Amino acid sequence: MSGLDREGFLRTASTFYVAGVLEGEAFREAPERKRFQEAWERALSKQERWQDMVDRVQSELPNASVSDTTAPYAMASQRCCVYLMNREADEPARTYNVVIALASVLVPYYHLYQVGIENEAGDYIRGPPQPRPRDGTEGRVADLLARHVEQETGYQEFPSEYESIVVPEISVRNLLPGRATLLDALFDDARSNIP
Amino acid sequence: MARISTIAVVVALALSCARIVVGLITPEHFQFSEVVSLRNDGKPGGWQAVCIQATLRDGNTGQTVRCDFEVGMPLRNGEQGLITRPFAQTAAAVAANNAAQLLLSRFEAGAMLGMLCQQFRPAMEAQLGAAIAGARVSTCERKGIPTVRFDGSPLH
Repeated sequence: MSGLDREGFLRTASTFYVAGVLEGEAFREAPERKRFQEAWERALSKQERWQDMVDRVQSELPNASVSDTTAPYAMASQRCCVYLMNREADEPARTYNVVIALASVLVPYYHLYQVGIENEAGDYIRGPPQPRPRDGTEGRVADLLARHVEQETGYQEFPSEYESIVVPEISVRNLLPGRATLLDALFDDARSNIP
Repeated sequence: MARISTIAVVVALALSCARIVVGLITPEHFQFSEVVSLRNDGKPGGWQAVCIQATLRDGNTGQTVRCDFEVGMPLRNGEQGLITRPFAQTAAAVAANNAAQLLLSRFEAGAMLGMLCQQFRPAMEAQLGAAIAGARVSTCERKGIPTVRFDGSPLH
């Protein structure tokens, strides 16, 4: 599969999001949003396959909790969360990490990252998104996720050097023009906000 | 400060425990529809959403603006577990109230209503996401989920 370059990613992102700010019917009927909606319809038609992949990951990680947490239309990717807590433990873990795989519905790329969770007497505090873990248990889980996502989708990992490039002019969900990065536009703009 | 009558009555909901109050948005406005089914494995997942079309009215000028927002949230998350419909509806209404109250306290005469709408969604998402992990508030995007109009009239 040939990869997109910086300009290719920017051009592609701009085909799914309106430039400037639109509201109501003008927003929903914009050709960019029609393309976005169609991309989600295609992804949802194959959602069972994504769920099957999640099940396969779970079978390889019996001590973790692996979930399909896809939020259609509220982000730009299908999502799989691996909660690294001991499922058999009597007490909820005070801190644990979640390794997350996002498979874009807009481009054939996936992204891996990690979020730390702190449980303060039942009040869960999510840390900021951290880069793909490379070491320890989290690193092995990320490798496993990458292998399964690549096998299921044929996607490539999104190049980290493009993550923070701002896409000019477009609005991505609640981000005003000039704020959204390629990672926001092609995957998710609220990566700490996981179920 | 300009008076924004419809948003103002949304704020009033935060002060009321009544089930249906004339002129107030209530939890019943949030008629969530299941978009992704919850699997029977006790793990986080599933997705439900509803679109609210609210009319904002400037009490001084009579100007009105349609402000829509789609509220989505998982059917189960790691913190609350199963998110029951009453809990989802109440949390959404309270988040809307708090967000509106926050914005109204900063809204100045002459400011554009449309801008208030763009600020409302992220403000409500911050409120709702703190109550229900994974919840999102965006512009209404698609057909196929319930659309509920809110213009200050009661919902029966």
